[in-house]
Amino acid sequence: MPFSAPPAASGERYALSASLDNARHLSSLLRAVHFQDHATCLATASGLRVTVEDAKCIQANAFIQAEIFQEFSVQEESVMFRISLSVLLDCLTIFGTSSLPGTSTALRMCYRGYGYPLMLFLEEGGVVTVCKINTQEPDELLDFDFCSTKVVNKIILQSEGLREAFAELDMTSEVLQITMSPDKPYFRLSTFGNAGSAHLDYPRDSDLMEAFHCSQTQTNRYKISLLKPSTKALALSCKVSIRTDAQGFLSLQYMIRNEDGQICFVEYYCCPDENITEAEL
Amino acid sequence: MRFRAKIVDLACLNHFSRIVNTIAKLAKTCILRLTVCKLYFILSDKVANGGASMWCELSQGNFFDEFQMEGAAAEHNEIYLELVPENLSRALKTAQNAKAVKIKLTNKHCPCLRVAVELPSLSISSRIVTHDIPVGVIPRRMWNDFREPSVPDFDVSIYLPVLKTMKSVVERMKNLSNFIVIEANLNGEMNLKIETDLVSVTTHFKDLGNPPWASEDGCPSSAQGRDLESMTEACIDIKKLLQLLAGQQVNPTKALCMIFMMGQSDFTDDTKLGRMAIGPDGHAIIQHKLDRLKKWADKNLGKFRKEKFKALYLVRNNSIHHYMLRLTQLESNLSEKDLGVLMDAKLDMSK
Repeated sequence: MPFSAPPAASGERYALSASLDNARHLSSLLRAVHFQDHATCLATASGLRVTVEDAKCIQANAFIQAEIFQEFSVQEESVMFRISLSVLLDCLTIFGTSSLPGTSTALRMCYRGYGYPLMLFLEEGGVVTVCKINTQEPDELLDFDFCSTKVVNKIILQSEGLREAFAELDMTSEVLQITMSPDKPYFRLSTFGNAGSAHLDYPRDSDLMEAFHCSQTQTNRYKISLLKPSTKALALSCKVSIRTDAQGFLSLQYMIRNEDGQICFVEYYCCPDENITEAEL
Repeated sequence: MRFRAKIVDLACLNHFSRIVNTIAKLAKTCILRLTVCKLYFILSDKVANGGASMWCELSQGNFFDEFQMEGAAAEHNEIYLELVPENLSRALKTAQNAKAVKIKLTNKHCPCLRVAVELPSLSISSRIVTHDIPVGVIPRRMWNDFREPSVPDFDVSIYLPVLKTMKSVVERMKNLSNFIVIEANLNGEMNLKIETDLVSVTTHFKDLGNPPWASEDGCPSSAQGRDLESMTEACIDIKKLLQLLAGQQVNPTKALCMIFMMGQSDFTDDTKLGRMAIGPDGHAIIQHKLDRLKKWADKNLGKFRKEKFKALYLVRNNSIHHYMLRLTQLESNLSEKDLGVLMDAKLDMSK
């Protein structure tokens, strides 16, 4: 049962107030983008977006739509703050991560506004935990300017096809090279590690391939250490869309179905390490 | 100095193993004290503040089929040994299906506890696995360091919540802070709190129940007339608390928490002479308080017919005012020094 909103002092409304029957719907998604300690949260009428960045080259976003919440209200047009993601996750999972069937942690989240801490109220089995996490000034976020009109190549795959590949990436390789082409090899993942190079090809007529729209042959390299955290999002997802634009920027979008069957998205954007856009196989 | 003992019953053996496993998780080295009727596992914390100590008392008759000991001298018929409980725990691991386990004190090259495990075998002769666990014999002049702790009046006692939930919460809190505040009142409410610059988290447990105390000794007289809602708190090292919660393998039927405040009087009712007499090392505690506690235990815990042993685990806090938290769990008997964890065993056995 969701909590009723604790009244704010002096009758003010909360800038952000949300209720969720099962906190795991939020915590599992946040774990998929937890590769840095801090995250920027943006709340708008459509939902919550949590952004994590690293090295000015990679950005991950977790989207939890307002519909996932039992209650979600944002007073101003948007509310934004920076918060420690590690602390937030520790609080959301305060009653443990292993879930007994039928038990779930109920969550209520309240944020008074700029300068105020984020308040979390979690309840499981009659035990209530109240958390107060200090927030900070939001960072300026990278804008990859990745819109669908600029997409050169796009593939949608079923995640199970990629999971093993990503879990076993040769981490001694500095880069992950992604080749997408209307001709062979269609879609290739390559690494160049201490033991040698490894290439993994996915044919366009494979069962795992849900959509294949490649107009140009592109080969791009990305720092493997930056992309490795996306494996967490891949593990949770059922489908993944892989897109590149003319500059070789990579967009990975993961469609994740939560315990109740609702759909959420996580996306990773990454800058290329070197740019080799000419036809090169 | 002689000691030999034998366990034949598998259930007793398993229970004894679980207790030793729990002790092994709580202390790297400890003292094993043997008397005619009892065994004790003692961890005496020499650190003045912020440490943990433990006292576990087992009635030998509840575990051993044979138990003979003889101290160095007739008037001091006790043996004190220093050992690493992990070694004993490992030896007992091999005894999961044993026919019998014999423990004997030997002195071939150096003093050892010889654990001989007789395992079933297909042939007529049994297989015997022997473990020699090195022990140090504690000379009599040092026995005073390990005497039974005296227990001050507690300010509040409360039953603990489901340990699994408490453990999950404390585990998470450990990531956020080094110290945890445990507060409880006489209304069955307990809170676990951590507070740092970055975050503060409070977990509220309700409807836990407070154990009834014998009133004739005036033990809870400090509690009478006190506001039921007012909280008594203790601030302790979170790692020590987690060590206790994570390491325990005996599943208690009930766990009790008692909070003692020493050297401070924020209560408006009469401060008892006993409490004022309390010094940092507890020596000034009047002995009869301990007797009162024992009487209470016998009276209230006696209903657990098969009670085999008691345990007490103590954690001191780091500030000058010695806050002590005492958790009582039914099943393992740890010393009731600071963090009172009193565990009473409840075994369903014919013994």
